[in-house]
Amino acid sequence: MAEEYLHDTIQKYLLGELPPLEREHLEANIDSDPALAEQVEIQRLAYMGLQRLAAADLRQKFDLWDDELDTPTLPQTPPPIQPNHDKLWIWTAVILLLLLLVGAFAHFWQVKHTRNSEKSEVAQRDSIIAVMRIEFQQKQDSMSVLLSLPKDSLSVLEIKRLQEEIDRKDKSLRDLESKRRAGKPLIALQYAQPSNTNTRGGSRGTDPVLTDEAKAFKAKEFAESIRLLKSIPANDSRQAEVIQRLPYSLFYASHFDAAIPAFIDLLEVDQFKEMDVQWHLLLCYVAIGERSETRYLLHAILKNPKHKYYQQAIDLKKALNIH
Amino acid sequence: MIMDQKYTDLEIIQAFREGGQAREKAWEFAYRDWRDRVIGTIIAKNGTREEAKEAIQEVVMAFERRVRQPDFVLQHRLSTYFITCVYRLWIRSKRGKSVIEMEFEDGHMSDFVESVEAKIAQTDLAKILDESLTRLGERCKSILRHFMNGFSMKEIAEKMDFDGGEQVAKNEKRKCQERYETYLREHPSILQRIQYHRNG
Repeated sequence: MAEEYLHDTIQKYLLGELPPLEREHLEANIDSDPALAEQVEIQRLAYMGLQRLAAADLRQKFDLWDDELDTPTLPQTPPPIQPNHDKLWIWTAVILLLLLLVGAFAHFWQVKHTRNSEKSEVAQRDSIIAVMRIEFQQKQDSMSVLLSLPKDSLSVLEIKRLQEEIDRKDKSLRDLESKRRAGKPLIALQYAQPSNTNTRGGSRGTDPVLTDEAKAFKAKEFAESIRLLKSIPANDSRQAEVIQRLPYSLFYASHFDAAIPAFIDLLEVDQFKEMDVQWHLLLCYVAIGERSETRYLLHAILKNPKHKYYQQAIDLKKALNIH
Repeated sequence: MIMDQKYTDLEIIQAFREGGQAREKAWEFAYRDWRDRVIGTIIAKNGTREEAKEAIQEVVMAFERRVRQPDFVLQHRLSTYFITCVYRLWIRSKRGKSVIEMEFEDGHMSDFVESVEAKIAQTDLAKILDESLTRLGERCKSILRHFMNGFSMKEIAEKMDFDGGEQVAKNEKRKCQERYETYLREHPSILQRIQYHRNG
């Protein structure tokens, strides 16, 4: 233990860590004790040797750091500019949104323009029709007056001229009125799905007329179907079946004007077929161009998402460009 | 490798006194920061780069030991002090003892330049000491190197994988030290040669 203590004391002395008093005491002992002096010298020499160990260690590290410091470092090139995907997405989204807005604006502008031009055309046509009706009425009145007067050669000529003029105006009036109701029969028939005859009712019973009618309808011989149905007398018990079938035959025969009252009759007697009738009535109005009725029925069907023809109504609305 | 940590002079001194890993990191910073200035100073005095690096390597241990001592007072920047130490050692080796007339504020380092340690660094005694160290096994050399680098006994135990921990490291270190001292004692010629150089 004493040797260990002496060893530590000498080490502290060599490291300069010994307090001054102890240092003086030790130095006095070294001067008077050759063995202690030898021990101090041995430890000093050992310490120097060990310092060379530590120095060698540090020297290795210096060499390593020298290599790193002396290695020419390439000038740091700026990292390649990576496209910022986040920003790219943002820009893409913005551009798409702008395109969408431009498209929507153009669409609405076109619709509005079309509506306005349609409205002006209708208004112009209506005013012409109104004028023509007045003129037509005036000519008819003149004609009545002339007919009531005693006829001479001059009046006969005048009557003939008036009659021709009335016929001409009548024809023009009819043409204008037909244009006023610009229907879309092809669209109506397209949405009617004529292959589906189940909505109409089948050939029940063994009545030969009704059986033949059903066959004709199935064969798309709608004119024959209508003829057979109309051949049944008004007071016949089979009229109930006529009411069921005739509207569809008229519809598919493109007799939309006639089909409308027939469907209304059907609706009155058979509430179970309300959805089918409502849909076909709508198509009739589409076919003859009755816009207000078309809008009304479309609205009625679209109010009810459970309506049998709800999806078709949506498609039809798009096809008709109704907003 | 670029060091992230910057050290103040006081932090370097503290790290030298702490030893171990802290010391190594402080040295790395100091060496990278000071080296070119030292080399520049030596080259400015017509020295070479190699001479400067050699002088650095010879002075570092004495410099560190001086800085660690409790009575060390930092009068200038630590880098300036280091450069001065290296320069004085280099110029002495170049021109000989007789031409040194410069003032050197730190008596301890001035002593070092003239000390037996400096002589050892410049004479064949360095080779003798290095030769004596080979008598130690690699294991003992590792223990003593860690000890001289300021690692604690606990850290040495961890580095050397001693199961018994700190106490075993302490015992092993003492045994290695005694073995080395015994070798030196058994070879008085080494001691005599050092005494000869010390006395001139």
